[in-house]
Amino acid sequence: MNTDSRSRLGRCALWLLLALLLPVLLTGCAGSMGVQPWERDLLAQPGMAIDPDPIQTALNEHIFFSKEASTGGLGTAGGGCGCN
Amino acid sequence: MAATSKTGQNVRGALLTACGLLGIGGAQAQATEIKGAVLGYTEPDRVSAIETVVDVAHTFAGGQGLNFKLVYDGLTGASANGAVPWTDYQTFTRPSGAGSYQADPEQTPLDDTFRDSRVALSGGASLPWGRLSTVSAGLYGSGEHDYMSLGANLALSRDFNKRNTTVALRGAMFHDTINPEGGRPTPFGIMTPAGSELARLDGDGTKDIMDLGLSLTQTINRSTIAHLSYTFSQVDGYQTDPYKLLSVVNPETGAPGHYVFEKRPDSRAKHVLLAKLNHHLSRDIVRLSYRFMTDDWGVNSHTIDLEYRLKMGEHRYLEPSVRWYTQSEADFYRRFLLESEALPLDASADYRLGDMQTWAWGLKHGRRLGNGHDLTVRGVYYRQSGESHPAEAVGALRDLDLFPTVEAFIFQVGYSFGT
Amino acid sequence: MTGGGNSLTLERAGRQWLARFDAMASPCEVKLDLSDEAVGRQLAAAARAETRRIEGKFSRYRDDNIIHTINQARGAPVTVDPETAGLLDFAHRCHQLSGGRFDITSGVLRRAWTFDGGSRVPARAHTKELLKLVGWEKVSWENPVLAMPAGMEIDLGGLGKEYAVDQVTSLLAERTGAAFLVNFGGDLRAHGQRRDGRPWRVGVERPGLPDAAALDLELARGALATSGDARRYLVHKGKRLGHILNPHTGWPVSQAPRSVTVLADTCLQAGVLSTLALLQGKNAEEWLAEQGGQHWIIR
Repeated sequence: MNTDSRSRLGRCALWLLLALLLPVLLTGCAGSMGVQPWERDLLAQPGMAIDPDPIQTALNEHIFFSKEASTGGLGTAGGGCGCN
Repeated sequence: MAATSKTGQNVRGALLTACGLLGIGGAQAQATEIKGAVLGYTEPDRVSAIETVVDVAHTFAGGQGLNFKLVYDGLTGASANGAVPWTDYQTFTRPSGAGSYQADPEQTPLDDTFRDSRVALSGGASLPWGRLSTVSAGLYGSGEHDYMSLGANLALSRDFNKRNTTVALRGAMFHDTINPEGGRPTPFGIMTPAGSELARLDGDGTKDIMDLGLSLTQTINRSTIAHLSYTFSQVDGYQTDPYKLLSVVNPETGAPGHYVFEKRPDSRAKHVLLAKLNHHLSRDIVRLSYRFMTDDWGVNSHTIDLEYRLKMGEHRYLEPSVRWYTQSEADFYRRFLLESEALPLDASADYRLGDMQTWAWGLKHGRRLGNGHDLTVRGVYYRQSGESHPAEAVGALRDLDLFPTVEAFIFQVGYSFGT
Repeated sequence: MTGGGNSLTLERAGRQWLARFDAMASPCEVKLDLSDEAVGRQLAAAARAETRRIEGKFSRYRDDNIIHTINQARGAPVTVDPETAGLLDFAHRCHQLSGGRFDITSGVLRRAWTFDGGSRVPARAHTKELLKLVGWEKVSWENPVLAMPAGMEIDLGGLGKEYAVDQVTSLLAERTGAAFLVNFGGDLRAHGQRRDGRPWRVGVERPGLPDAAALDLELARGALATSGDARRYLVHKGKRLGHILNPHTGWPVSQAPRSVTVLADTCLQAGVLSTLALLQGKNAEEWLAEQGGQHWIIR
């Protein structure tokens, strides 16, 4: 288990992702994308929400947090627990 | 108030939405939404848990919101204690120090003293700030017999580009206290037989968590929306699991000589990158998400989540889903220690910090009932596997499964309605 | 929809200011719960200006607006402005939600009918001819471009008054924190909370019906709209035919109620609900019950 090279790979992946995202965020590409207010019919459907079922997300996160080493990024405001 | 006609159509609601698209807001009516769910979780021969949630959210005429959530968990069963299996019986002392338990030959040692209940309460408020921004704040508290967590969070979000773009900033802080049965063992302290003295640390263990996140939600076109977020998390304090051990084994035969309690670093910094994409096909909806996590404990993980909502009519759907997760082990993860080596700075044999891969296959059904309330039913099959035969296994350990595949079955029922 | 008199009157009514003007072939009223007369006059003038603007823009009697351009395009594509596009999207949605019964192209059918209380009905051949020019599904609408086969016409009259009530509500809500009631001939909307905390007293007349049938309601918030055919009808073979036409058959909806009043969050929502209820004919009561919310039906 070469932990050194693996964490280097991990850090590379992180910087690569940031490098991809930054242009999108900065060039205001966001300014040219989008829809008119009256074109939001499909987007307004519950299944299209970024988090359609927050309770389920929180329950899932609790289960996965108890069995895996990663948490969050999903915006749940839940705090710690002594889950085993 | 949601009504269904013979055609299953809620014309009244659809018209209000259509008015909204025309820029005509309905007078913000006061509304209360109540959601509940019950979840059952079981790992055959290991842990079983039940979790119940009630969530009440109220919106005022001016757009302000208030919400409360109550969660109850009940946990029973046995969880791996970190020791490796052996060809013979092994005896372990219970965490309280009083009494002991045994692991069968060739079975992963499981500590079955985990019978716990947890209650968590959280509440929050959100306020519109001008036409385009929202501020929200919340409090959190949870308690179980040996653990307590208190936290607060704050968020600010703003819309741009005719509400096609939303940027949000989030912060949260938690203070957790652990007061384990019998007190905290000294890190790397030797597990002594039941009834005898054990070196303990004074007082409770505490840790402080600070999260900071930035996110961007962007409408791509009429049928696609994307979300990106970055979260930084810093945890400082006692992060060792006081109930977990490592086996210290003979370097030739692999036989366990004694057991020591684990020790983890007291600082952890995590970075999480999340990307989501929702796309509406001609009838159905696809949701894809990818999450990358890296931290200074050496853990890197990737999560891919795919959900497909098959629409069966206006208010009914079937949603299969699949989640794939992989993580690389923490720098200080050691499946076991050798009697011949010096103790490392930190070490843990907790399987949750090891190399692993998990799959979760789910199926969810949602429908609107005749009374306008929503019901969901979901089942998930979860499967976790890791290094059953790591290269560093010695002696008889080479022939034993050091990371058995764990299966879990999840069943969940959800119910929600508005007044 | 002829423009009414030029006068805008403002008079005191209890603790409120009552503004009155004519527009959209109806007596229009705006009641403002404030005491400052100058502010009241400004708000009333703004309300009237907006109503006149909408009336002018979407009236089918004028030859200088977008409706005229669309109806005279003879098949050529027309690019419309965002406001018109929004209303066309809305009309499209109503068409979908009503299974095709709500159709803004059905106006040409009025050439065949005269609802004067008499008994003259058009020949089937005549309505059949006109039906070839009816049908929103025949129209190509890709926001913001509209292309209609030559001879077809659109008429936003069924939405105009309710849309004006909602737009005037938005306009006033932006300019004042005071509560107000906008009432354009029975299509009305209440906004805000009055200083005395009491609801508005509204009377909804149903023209052509006995006075006893006028609704007397207390409304704190929300919108009311009424659809009815009490004034214009025919009597054919002993049966009463209202003037609401079914765009699929070219004939009046059979057994339509004489009046439907619906309470909803916005005036457009209430207006379309009441129209759709009428289009349900004999199933109007059942349909409205299924949709929930308060409503009043007279047969």
